[in-house]
Amino acid sequence: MAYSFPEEVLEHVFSFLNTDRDRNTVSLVNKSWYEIERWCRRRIFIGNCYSISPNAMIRRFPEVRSVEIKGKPHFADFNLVPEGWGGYVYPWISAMARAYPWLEEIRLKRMVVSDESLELISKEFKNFKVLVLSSCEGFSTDGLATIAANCRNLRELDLRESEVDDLSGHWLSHFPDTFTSLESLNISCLSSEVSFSALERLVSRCPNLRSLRLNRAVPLEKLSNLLRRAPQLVEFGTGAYFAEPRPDVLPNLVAAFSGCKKLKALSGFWDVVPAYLPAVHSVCSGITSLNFSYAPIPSHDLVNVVIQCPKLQRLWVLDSIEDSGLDDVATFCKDLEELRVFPSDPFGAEANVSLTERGLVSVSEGCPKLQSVLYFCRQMSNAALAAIALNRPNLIRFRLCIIEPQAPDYQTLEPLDVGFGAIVEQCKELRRLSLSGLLTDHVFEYIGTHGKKLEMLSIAFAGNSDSGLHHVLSGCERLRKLEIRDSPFGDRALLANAAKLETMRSLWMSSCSVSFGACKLLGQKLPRLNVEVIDERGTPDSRSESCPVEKLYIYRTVVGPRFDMPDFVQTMDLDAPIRLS
Amino acid sequence: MELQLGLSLQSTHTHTKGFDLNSKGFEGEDQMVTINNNNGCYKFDMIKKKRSFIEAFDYGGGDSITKTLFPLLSLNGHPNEEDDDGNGRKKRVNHAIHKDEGEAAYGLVGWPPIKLWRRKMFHGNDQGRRIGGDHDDRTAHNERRKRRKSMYVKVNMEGVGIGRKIDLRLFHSYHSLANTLITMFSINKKINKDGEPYALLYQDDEGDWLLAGDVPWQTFIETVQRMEILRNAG
Repeated sequence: MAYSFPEEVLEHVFSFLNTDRDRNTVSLVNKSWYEIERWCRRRIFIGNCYSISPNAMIRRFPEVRSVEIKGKPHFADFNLVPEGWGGYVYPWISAMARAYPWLEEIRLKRMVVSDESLELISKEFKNFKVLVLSSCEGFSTDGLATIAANCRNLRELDLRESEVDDLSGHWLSHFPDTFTSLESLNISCLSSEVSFSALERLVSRCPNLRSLRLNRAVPLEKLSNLLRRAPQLVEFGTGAYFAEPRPDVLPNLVAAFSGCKKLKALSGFWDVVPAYLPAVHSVCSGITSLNFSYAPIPSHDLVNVVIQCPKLQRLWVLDSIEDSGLDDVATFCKDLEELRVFPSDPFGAEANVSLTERGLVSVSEGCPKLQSVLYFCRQMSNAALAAIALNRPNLIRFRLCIIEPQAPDYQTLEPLDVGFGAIVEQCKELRRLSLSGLLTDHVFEYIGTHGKKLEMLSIAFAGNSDSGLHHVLSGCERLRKLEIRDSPFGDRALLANAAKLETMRSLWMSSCSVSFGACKLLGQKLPRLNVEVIDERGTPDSRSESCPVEKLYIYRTVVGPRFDMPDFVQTMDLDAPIRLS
Repeated sequence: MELQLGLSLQSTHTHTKGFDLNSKGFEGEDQMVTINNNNGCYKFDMIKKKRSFIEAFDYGGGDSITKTLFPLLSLNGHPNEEDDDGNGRKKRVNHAIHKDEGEAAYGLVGWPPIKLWRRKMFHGNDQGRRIGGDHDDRTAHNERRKRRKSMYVKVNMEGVGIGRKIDLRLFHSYHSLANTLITMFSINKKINKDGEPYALLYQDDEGDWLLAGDVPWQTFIETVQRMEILRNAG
């Protein structure tokens, strides 16, 4: 006699399990638990769209309500992945349209989304609620129009940083007058002007709207109208924060902002005229997130806002805040958890503002909860890095970009190995690290020795030899994503650690020294990896075995080579060493 | 959290067994020697102790770079590149600028690692509009120059480190433009609005610097690429 709980009881217990890790664990207990779990899993995350096929997902999990899929490798953000590489979502949408009629949520990152896909979503999923397209491309405002027109229960439409073929702003007017369920709208990436009256009416009739991020084309004078109609907003992104000087602009803004008692997050602020910034002062005491990273305004104007936000947890700014401004952040923003400082003049050869390593050291000293850092600067020292490490051993994400490649410690002219070594040694919970500056193999020794929780590592212009890569691959037990560019890593480390690659999501290497022959070998010997060679330089036949490949993307998969590759991508696999797509 | 792809995959492991090809009789060790400079099909200078990245990648050394004048905006259609140092010296050399829209510093694609949206901010292009992708060819460049895509122009003021971008569509006359600029910059410079005389110069699409106000407003907004506010000497 089998002693087991009735299925319903187990299902109820499983409903409290929200993470994939927990659900995966229970599904391993026995066949019965596996079956029960797979029928009640509602949420799926697919970190690499080519690691599994839509049909395999559907076969195992028949009753899914929410899907999140990621496509291109991270370095696609920086133009390193050629156009046409892949990441098409249409096969997923069409398979899910048949299998998941009750699908409610689709979240995509770095995928190619066509208007046809959007139309299919809008028509096939009757209860569709959430569409988030993060850094996606391939669709136009026509596709958005079909979403607006057909998704009666839409709650969230978030186009963050996507590349949209912006034909006109008319799509917004396709939301019917009966449509009232909108809770979140992010159109900040669009350039066309949407019909302002349609936007106003939409905002007025959606009482649950809590997040509204406008695009640059919405003029400042119209902001008051919108805010007055949506005082319940929790997140707000302005359009261009600039207007011809007229006496009524500021008072209207002040009144409008002061009505929004629940505001926690502010963003937008393109083309800021500092004179209008005081309008937000009334909401500062509750603000937890500020994104001023599109606002190249002088430090004191930024600081005047920031120091009024004692509850600030997340701050994204340009380096125009300067070291002095970061000193103020360190003094006044004791709840700060995440700091991102972007360059205001990234392509300039010299510093245009006074932002150095000192600002980051200051924040690391003053903000005890700081755990996530992205910092662009033009100079760094081992001493500063060591200080940051000692101040903030609770760091989880540390991404440093020293703008000049291979810049040494500016004080000693030494490599920055020791400094980054201090970071990995002190910050025992570090999960994500991006390196820059002059670095030898030593830094990788430190990383391999101490980076035991490291999951994602980004390397550029670093290292001397294969032993650097070997340290990382053999030492970082939790490594999932490794991306490397312009570093002298070749065949030896890769082949010696080939089995490691099956435990990771993916490995990207571009402008390194991995030979074509090594890629073929890896592809042939490890069937659960796709070894993609990306090379736009010439035909495969002309390449000799020892020639280094331009770009290499290796990822684990259960479904073998894909079939949607362009001609400059080849998968090295078992059958023919040279495959034409 | 990741979908476990197969029940047999380990999520963690303590020691990776090296996949030693030599033990399987593979004699590839020699054949697979990494390229270096031998067969010449890929030049990759290993950077050892070189301090200057530019030297390492054969850009001909720092000195020659700083002496090279890169073509200014008018030749490549990008109106708003950062090629002045904010002190009014317009033709400062900036070897970091790449003429392609896939901007590069130091001649490198994708460096510094900034997402597309931020890169676009520096070039004053309309967000989101794409003509066949990021890498424009010559035809697209010329097409864009003929029909003015962006009404955002950069304005620098002598002595002010950070330039401002303004949207010309918001103005209808020199008067409204001037008033706004005075407001914008008076906070930086604490100038009296009726006080010191300043001159507003602009660069047209042929690269010439002219005094604003000389041509009809319509012509001005069709040709202006960027503006500069200078203290009037006289």
